[in-house]
Amino acid sequence: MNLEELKSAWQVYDKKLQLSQEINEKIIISMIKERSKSRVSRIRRENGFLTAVLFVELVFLGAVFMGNPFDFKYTVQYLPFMFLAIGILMALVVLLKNFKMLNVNITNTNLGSFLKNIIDQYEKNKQAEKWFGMIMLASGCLTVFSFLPHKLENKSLQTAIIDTIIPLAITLIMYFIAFKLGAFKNKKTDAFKEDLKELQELSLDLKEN
Amino acid sequence: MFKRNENRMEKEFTKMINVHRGIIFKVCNLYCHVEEDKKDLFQEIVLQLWKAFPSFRSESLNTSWMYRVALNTAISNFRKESKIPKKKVISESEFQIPDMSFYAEENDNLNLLKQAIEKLSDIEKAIIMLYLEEKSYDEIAQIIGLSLSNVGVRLNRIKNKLEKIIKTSQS
Repeated sequence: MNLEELKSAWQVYDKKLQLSQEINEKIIISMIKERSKSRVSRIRRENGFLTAVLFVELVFLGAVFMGNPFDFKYTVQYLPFMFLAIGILMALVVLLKNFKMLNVNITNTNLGSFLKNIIDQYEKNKQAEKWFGMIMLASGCLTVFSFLPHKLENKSLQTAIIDTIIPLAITLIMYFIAFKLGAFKNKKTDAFKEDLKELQELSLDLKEN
Repeated sequence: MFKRNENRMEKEFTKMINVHRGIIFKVCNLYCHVEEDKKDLFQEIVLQLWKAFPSFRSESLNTSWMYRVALNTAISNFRKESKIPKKKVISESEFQIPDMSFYAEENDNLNLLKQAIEKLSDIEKAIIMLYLEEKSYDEIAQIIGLSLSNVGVRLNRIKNKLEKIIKTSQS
């Protein structure tokens, strides 16, 4: 089958599509009216929910810094919570960028520049996601040590150390299991990696021009 | 007055979608395999077209922007999220996207073409679709965002790839 035959096969398909039943006007109108049901709107809603949760966490951390509910004596005890706050702020920035990405005008730009923009955003986010994971791990591990001074006041050195090592080990195991189960892996990554490979070729083409 | 204008615009838009529904069907069939995904993509493309409609109203005969919107939607943010479970697909019973395989069964060449295109990458699918639609190199370059010479080179590679795939499946 040569290319001309390919074209005529495609034209047969095209003609058959033209003969297909027209789409009811009501359906098209409902598609443009019921915007909230579209996939992009759903992603926006999910991102909105996540943003709200992160804000609540930030408020909670603010309360920890202001009210000192754990009776911390040294500033260094706040360090894990500061890491957590930084992680949350980073996640908020990533969400904001994602939101902007979804808002890119899809209609006035060609595929190349549109994808280039998306790749740039994803690449920047990938860096941020890596840092986010590391900050969360540091925060999770260090939180255990924030309570060490309390333990040293009430228990012997040996008991206090054991009492710190056990939760630390549990934390590390939990992070390890979560890591192995792919909790830190961006679920969109696999499909995206394929695209990226191909799009990098396209980007090279675009750069060459 | 405003309402009347809006109604008129909706009517024009509906007419345009129906005149060019083949373009959207083809893009949906190229990029989605599951019926629900196709319908979801169809809705997303219609939404994006509706957003762009006021600015492109005057050139509604020019289909290039339709291809551009449809392909941008299919390749970019839509597909990345395709594993999200869907609650309800719009008017499922009343709305059918004619699948290429319906016709492929009665036409061997179409069947071969369908199988070969499925093996191409997303960008290659877009380029070959525009080629098969008899778009000029210039139009393909504008829609995809490549230079004219790049379109030529890529198209040649894709054609060779398609021929190879077809030969392999024939043998």
